[in-house]
Amino acid sequence: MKDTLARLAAVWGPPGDESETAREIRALIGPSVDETRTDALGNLIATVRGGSAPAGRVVMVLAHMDQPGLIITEIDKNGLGRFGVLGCLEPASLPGLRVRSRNGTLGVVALEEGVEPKDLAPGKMVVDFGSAAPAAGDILVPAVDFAELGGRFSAPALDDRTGCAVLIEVARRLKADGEPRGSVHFVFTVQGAVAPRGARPAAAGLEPDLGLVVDLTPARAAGQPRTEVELGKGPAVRLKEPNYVAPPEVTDLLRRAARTAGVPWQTDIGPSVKPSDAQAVELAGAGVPTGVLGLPARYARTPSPVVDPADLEGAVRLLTVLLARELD
Amino acid sequence: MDIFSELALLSRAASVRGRESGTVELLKRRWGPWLDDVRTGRLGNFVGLRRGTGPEPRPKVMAAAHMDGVGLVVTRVEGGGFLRVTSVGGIDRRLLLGQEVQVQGRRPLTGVIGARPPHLSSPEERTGTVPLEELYVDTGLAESEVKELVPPGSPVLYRQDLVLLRNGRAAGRCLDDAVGLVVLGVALEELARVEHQADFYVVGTVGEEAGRYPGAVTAAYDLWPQIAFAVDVTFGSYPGQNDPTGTYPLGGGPAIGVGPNCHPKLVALLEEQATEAGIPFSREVMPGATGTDAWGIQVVRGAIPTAVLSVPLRYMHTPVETVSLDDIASTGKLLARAVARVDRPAVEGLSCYEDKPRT
Amino acid sequence: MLRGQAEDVNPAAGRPRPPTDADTDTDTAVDTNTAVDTNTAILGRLADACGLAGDEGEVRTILRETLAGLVDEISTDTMGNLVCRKGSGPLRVMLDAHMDEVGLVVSGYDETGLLRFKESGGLDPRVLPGRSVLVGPRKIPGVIGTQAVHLLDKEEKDKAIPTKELYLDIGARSRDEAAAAAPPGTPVYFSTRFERLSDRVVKGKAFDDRAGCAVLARVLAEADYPGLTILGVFTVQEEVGLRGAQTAAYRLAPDLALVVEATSCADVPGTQPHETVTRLGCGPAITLADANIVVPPGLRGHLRGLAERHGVPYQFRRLTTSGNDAGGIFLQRTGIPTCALSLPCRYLHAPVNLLHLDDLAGTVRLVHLFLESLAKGEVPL
Repeated sequence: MKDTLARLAAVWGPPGDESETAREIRALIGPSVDETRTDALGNLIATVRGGSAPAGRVVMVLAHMDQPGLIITEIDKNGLGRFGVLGCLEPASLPGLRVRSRNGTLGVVALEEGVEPKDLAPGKMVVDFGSAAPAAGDILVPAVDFAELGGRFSAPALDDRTGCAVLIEVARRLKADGEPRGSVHFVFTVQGAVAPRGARPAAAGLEPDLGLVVDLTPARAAGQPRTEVELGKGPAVRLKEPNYVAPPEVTDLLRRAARTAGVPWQTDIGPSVKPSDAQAVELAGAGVPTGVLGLPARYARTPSPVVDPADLEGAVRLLTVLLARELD
Repeated sequence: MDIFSELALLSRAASVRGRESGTVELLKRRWGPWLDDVRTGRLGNFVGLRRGTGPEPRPKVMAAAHMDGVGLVVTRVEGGGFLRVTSVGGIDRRLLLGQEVQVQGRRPLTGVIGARPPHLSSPEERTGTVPLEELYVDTGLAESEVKELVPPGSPVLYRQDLVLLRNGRAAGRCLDDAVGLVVLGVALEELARVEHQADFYVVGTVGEEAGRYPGAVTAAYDLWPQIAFAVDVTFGSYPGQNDPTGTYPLGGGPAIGVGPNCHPKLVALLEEQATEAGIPFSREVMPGATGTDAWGIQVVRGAIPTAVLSVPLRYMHTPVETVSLDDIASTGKLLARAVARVDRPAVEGLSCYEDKPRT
Repeated sequence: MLRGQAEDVNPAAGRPRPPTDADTDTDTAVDTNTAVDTNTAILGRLADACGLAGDEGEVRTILRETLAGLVDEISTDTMGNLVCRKGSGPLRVMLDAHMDEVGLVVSGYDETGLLRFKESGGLDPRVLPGRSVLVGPRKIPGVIGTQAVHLLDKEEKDKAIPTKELYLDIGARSRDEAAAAAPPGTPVYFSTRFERLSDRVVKGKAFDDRAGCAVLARVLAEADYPGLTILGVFTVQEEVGLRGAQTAAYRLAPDLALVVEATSCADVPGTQPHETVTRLGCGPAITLADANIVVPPGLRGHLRGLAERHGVPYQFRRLTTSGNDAGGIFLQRTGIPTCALSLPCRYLHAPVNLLHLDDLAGTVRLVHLFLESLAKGEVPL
């Protein structure tokens, strides 16, 4: 899975411009599913049609394929770019960050002179492209390579290419090991790095019986820990977000699947990186019971989130077991 | 109907989002005699149908009250058997310390919310509120027993039976929105005595306190009614509140919502029926979001005309929410009268806007 | 940026221009044959009309009267959105502008006959004291006063007054009299009258989004694009949460949508160049991203390409926060590709707005160019 993740992390794909990411994911998941298609907003839907299923059981598993980025809103008279942030990047993590546009133009984010740390905000920063000529409307993503940190992985796009990699691997194992009970739609949503957006029309189109979102969840890091979730202790079953509460039957299902798969799990009550796609999926049609499986990540709101492969492997085994055996 | 005992039953059964099934079972038993059909929605809504007598296709009227209240859930068990908790919905953090609670684990347990004792806190700490992360629930049981009985996600609710106060007032927990459910029950009972053309759907919705109205939105999508009422509670008047014009007197009858979330013809219907029946009422001015299921319902599909009916309630989201039982009765009667007046011409008229002439 | 080129060009030049109310309107038009003066007339009438969220009737009436006979079908839905269909081609495009403005709503009284109020839509409360307003459908005059400056404490002289401490005075002398004249829920509007300040700059209230409505009305009146079904939707309740746009888009299920809004224009002293959002007179502002949507690069790039190729001055909306009906439209059904153009407007959400007529004409022109290229199958979807 490291190779899949490294490959996905290298693709340029910010909110609103996910077509290259979709192409890459399609190439990776295609052999494991029966069909793939993109909808009107660019969501990628990869479907495994059910085999010996109880009739009509449809599961939708989601991960957003866009990564956080910066959108240039104007070039000032000195040729420096002003920008807005798309997604969750802490302002403190921006000054000094190298960024790149779709065609590979590089720039660096700089703070205006004389700004106090307490006043740090994107409105007080610029992007310097040297003598290259970017344009208003260009979107930039962090230009930081995928790296291995003593067995753990780090790259800017881990939010949520990690979830995408998990989905791709689950699809592979289901294909190899046996049929899922019922249809499974692996949905790679658009603009999810910012807010639950693409997920809503995707769910409206599919009308699933169950939704499962796979996204990053902040893990304990240095300083005052704001969460109980830790790296390396397994995927996290999320109980709630500010506008969402996980249905007990879905959290029970996730925990049962973890036990069957022999995977350790944690409980996640937030804070979350941003509102997950769950609160959009559950509102679709006549309602979709939806759960969130969190992938622990340190520094999730910076250009260098860090994840542990053991947690990812745990998530893959949990979901594979759930889709192949646990649904009744 | 004995409104006090209905309210007591619903208050006792109430829990937080995701745990509404106890209320669903209770509603099935209490409302069964008045309903032609009962089912559960995909997210757990209670959906009851009382058929009308009009010719097909009959208009559909939906009335929603939410089954979930605000409260806490367990996140983990700590050394010593203490339970750590997080909130579900907008709880008032100032009230938690020292409260007696019910832990809804594999079996119900009683506990108390504790924190570091006052003589170990600094003077500043004692004038502030203890943060939720520093509170815990003490059940008095051993750690191993607690771990066995209380999985993460178990609800923790205030322990408070409904209390009868003077002048027909009652106080208890989760009256937001057990009161709304009783109103629906009163309306059903009234409608059983008269003819009504429209099909009447009473919906106990899930998740109003902790989501974007998931129960209401999905029920409205599924049923696709021509009219929807949200029955909830609003701020009851008493001294010292921050909103000088947005509180309503207990005993003054229902507050009828006015504003963009409330279709003008439904408002007119409610006011006309209240006046005819001699039911006192207030107008609740809500220029934007109403904070009720109606806000979610109105924009479902191609738009559903909605209205908001609220019962004044003091001390919202505390264990001692206080209402006037007469207000519940009169709101239920008003809802019944409005529903009884809905026929096909009334529904067709909802899409006609009498646009104002230019001055 | 090319100024002064777009405003006199009538996109329908060469085809007989359908008669509009402005042709018979005697008190505003200087030269009834120019697009600018027709724009001004429609904008003026719409801006002076009164309509808060949920209360858009007067605006709806004017639009209905203006467009009667100029479009194929006019209807109102159960939320009050006004839908004007022109054409019946296979590609369905929704044009959107909202009819509601920000204002106040009467919510209570005191014993002496003063009224209390709440805000409808987002409003800078600093603009309320000392304001004259119109109350209710009969436009009863009222004023929002404050205590005399002589009586203020030193600290109070520089503090803004919160809305809940303000009163509205219509001259009533008792609670009953006030409540009879203005029952709870009565809308309260700013009383600004539309006026031309100079050759190119106009002032009035509610340019957000009567300016967008004016653009749509002009476009619909002149539109003639076989291959398209143009759904001109004048929406309700945008200011309280993009409400009407959501249900209209669901019901109409267009293939794509274009929103015409008014947006902040802060090219004024005290702001940095990059904080201006837009600049007056520099043309319609294309949305890149806002709080609710990242506009597909293909769509916004196409708008920009059209503007450049045809010499229409344009700019980008430099704000990525706040939002408009586009956010309410694009997630309906299984997704609707949506873009947005905004008219720069100084002092948005305040009683007196300023707008540049070149921006108005330029927006009309760019919308026409967009429709034309849609009809030709050029727009990337």
